[in-house]
Amino acid sequence: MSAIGNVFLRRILWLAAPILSSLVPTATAQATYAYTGQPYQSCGGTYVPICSQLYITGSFTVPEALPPNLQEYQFAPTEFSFTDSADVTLGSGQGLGVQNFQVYTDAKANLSNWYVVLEVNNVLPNTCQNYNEYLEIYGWPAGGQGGDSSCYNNPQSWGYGVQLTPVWGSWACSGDCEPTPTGEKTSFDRWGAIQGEWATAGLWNAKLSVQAGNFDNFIVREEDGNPPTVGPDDDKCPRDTCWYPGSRFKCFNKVNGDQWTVGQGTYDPVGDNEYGQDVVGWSTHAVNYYRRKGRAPCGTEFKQIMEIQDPNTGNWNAYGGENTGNSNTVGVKIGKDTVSSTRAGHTRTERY
Amino acid sequence: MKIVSAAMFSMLVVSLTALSSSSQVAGKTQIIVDDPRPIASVAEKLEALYGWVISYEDPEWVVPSETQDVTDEVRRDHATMPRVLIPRASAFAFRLPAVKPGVGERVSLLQELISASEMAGNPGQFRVFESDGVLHIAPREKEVSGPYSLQAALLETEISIAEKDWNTLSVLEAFCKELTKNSGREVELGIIPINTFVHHHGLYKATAMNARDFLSSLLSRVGDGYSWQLFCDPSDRSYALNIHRSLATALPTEDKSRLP
Repeated sequence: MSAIGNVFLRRILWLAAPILSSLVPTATAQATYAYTGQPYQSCGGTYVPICSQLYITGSFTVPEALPPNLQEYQFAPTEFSFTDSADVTLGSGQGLGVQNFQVYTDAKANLSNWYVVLEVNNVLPNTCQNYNEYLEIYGWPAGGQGGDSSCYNNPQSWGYGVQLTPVWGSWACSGDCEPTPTGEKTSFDRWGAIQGEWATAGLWNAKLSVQAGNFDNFIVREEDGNPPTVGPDDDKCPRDTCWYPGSRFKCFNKVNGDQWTVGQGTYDPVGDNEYGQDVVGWSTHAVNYYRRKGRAPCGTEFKQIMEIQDPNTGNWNAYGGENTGNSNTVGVKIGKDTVSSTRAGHTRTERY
Repeated sequence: MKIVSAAMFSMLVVSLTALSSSSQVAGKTQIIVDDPRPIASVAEKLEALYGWVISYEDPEWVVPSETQDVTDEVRRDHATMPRVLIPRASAFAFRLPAVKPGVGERVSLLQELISASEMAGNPGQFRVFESDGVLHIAPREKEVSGPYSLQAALLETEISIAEKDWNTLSVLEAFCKELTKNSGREVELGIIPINTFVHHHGLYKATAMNARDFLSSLLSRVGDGYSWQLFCDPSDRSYALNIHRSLATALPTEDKSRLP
């Protein structure tokens, strides 16, 4: 967000900002961001005697936690309410003439820059006239700028308060505050040959589905998504039809619990919100072994659940749906002269 | 059919409830172990049950009486050659203590397991020992009569690895090649957590180093809980180095609070 010197100039630039976008409510989880401002330092009218006691508090609620790395992100909260602790209280459901929300988030999805303007009547750039109520909070700690202000004006009285120096209020999130992508889209990268013994393995990428921002440098991991089985069937290795009791290669019927860093490809570069490469396949040694044992055609198939780690808490959260993260079908097949690799329902076959 | 029977009843240690083949006897849980590699299967289940790391190494199955021919059961192409051999093992009962053994009791528990397997007439002679918190089950060196000579554990082989920044997959492949070269027995990577291994890098070096010590050190640098099972195929006496992570390790906490 650009550095803007005073609230009035900021307001003018605000009107020239991109067209309002809105968060589409797609999940039941909500996140509420509550703000506590710093006390006013300069007041007028009825606010003068109580100036140091006044500060802005309030909150807004969004359908999902704000994702990381947002820039100039404008949105319409599902609910909001802010007050200056005195005569100005503005919230959703009031049919406000102006209600603008714009935020930036840092790499960990923390609010790093915010700008909220609420006004009963849209009389910008003039604020405190015509029976108006106005409230603004602004913070850009990294840029050394910020400040809150509010005012009211009615036939009986008027008042205003301003926090002039760049000291910033603070935000606290409640609800489901750990951002996750809505899913992921898998694409084939190439066949193995990452090293000599893995030419028969498929390399796959996945792009996280997000509405804004990016999850670069977040960690994603795979977890076992197979339905639980109990008892002797566990040891039959039913999903791996190449394996047999006594085989020197162990049963391959579940994911290994590997991890990737979003935005960093292991072998080949990936773009923002992408991770890879997920290596899905047996080594050439295993392919040759099972063929020598007369097992082909055979294969294995199992489920993979993708989770993303919240960098603030360390928690892992599953995301997406069937073959978009939670859960993906992963598999490998050995034919007489072909091998196949499957991820999230996508399959590639190669002669080998 | 032996194989089907083995699969149905094998390795019942973890599911201590709802198992027809386990029963409580004097505070202990009796389990039936029936698997071509009974000690390996129990070792992996003990890892999951107790959070231990237990490596396992097959002996080289050189004596014909130690193996069984399962060609008809395994081959789907109905070919008769090459024959498919697996270790021959008989089912046996083993009792687990009612409470998790202490650190000082781990080796003795595994020794009891080995004894129970040997008493059942199962092939392979093993020893168990502990090193840096990792339990190892390895073949015991033995004199074999007839045409077979002294057998030593494969991982007793000395290896050398050039010093450089390796990713773990690369150094493991080099490790297998070095083992193959120095032991005369073919060793390949088996089922491994490949993505984890290609992500992890480190400066590795070995100079005439015991292969087991190197492997143990290598995996401990990748993370906690990594273990291996080195399986020998009796048909051609080649080995596969399978690596897994003990299931009882590394799980997240649940804390949803956060201040933006």
